[in-house]
Amino acid sequence: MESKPTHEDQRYIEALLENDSELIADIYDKWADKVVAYIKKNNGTEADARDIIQDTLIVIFRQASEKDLQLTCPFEAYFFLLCKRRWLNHLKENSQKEVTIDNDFTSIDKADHQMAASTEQFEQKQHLVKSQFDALSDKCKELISLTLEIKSMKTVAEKLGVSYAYVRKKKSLCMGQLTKLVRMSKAYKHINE
Amino acid sequence: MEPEEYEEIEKYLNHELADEERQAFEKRMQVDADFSSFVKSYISIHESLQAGVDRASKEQVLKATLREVSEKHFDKKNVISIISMRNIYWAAAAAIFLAVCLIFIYNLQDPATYERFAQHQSLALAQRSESNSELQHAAEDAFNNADYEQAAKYLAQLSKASPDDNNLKLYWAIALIETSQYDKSDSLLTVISSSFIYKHTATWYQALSYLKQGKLEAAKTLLKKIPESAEKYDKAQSLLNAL
Repeated sequence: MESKPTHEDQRYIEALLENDSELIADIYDKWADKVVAYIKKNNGTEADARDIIQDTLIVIFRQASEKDLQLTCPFEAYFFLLCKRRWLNHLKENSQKEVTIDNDFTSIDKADHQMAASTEQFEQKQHLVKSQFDALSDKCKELISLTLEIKSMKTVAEKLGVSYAYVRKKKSLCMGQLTKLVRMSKAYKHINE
Repeated sequence: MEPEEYEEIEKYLNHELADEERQAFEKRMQVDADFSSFVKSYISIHESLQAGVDRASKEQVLKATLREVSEKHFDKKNVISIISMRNIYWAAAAAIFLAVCLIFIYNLQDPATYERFAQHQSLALAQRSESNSELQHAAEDAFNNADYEQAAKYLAQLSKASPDDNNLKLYWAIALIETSQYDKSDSLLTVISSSFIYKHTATWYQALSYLKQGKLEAAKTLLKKIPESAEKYDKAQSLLNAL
């Protein structure tokens, strides 16, 4: 895959990273109505659309803050595709009836589809890690959280009144178990196909 | 994978393996695909969790912004559409009435803003002196074109050459107020206020400076000190009323 140049709409991604409310308002003024119209046409309300837009922007922010997210297509196409697919997924999860989601990603050469697919995959991975993390014992969750927040295992050890070697060993056991759980899950295989 | 192997990974990531152990670890990463794939998962899960913790506070701020922007966007639209659906004529009539009221109120009570009262007479220095004429022209041009930053610089130089010229000091002080350099403008105005001719003018500009800084009480106190005989009396009274 050749790398495409960054699109000028990258500024909307930066706006999310920098909490630039003026430019974020621009996103709403330009494209929110289109999302609302689509969702209303597909058994939803304006309130649904508000949630979908907000959640979509948060996911974009997360991906951009974690990975280097370079927009290679207009923001509108990428954003709308994500909102649309999020809504259809929501319908699918919440209804007995079969909802068919067109496979938008068949034409994988299109930049907007590539972008949206990478963001969806990012979210699925994140979701998977989070759900398996929640399945760990309270002790493990607490220890991992502490080491992530404090960053220094030495300080964590002092705080807990145990030795450094003990914290390292316990943390590695918890992280190892989490890694195992993630790798064994169905979703992991799906993502890595 | 065994529990001891998990600890190996943790030690490796923290650069705590001895050289030989590290080489063995890296060698195994190259030849043992399962091991290598597990280590990569371990690292990427760790990174994902760490990133989640690191961005948590930024994410909270962004969520608040999104809520605010979203409310503004949707509620503004809804208000307009509700009105237009009920009765567009009543809405129009109400809007016109409101506009008329606003214009009336506005005219009745001009706001007490610095911009409204800070209308400076243009600076005319060139006739006063033969020397420094280029600098004087530059100062006049800058000041009269509202380039107060440049004007302040030129006036500072001119003032240095003629330290007794209170008119220069006054305009220098105005340029400083305009560029929010209040400490300097304060001390200049204090000097000028000892002059018989410029005393009340200096008080007036000090009051404007306070107005610009939002120190309204201090401004009022000074304005009350400007006597009827002073040139700035009328302006001072009208600003006092507005305040």
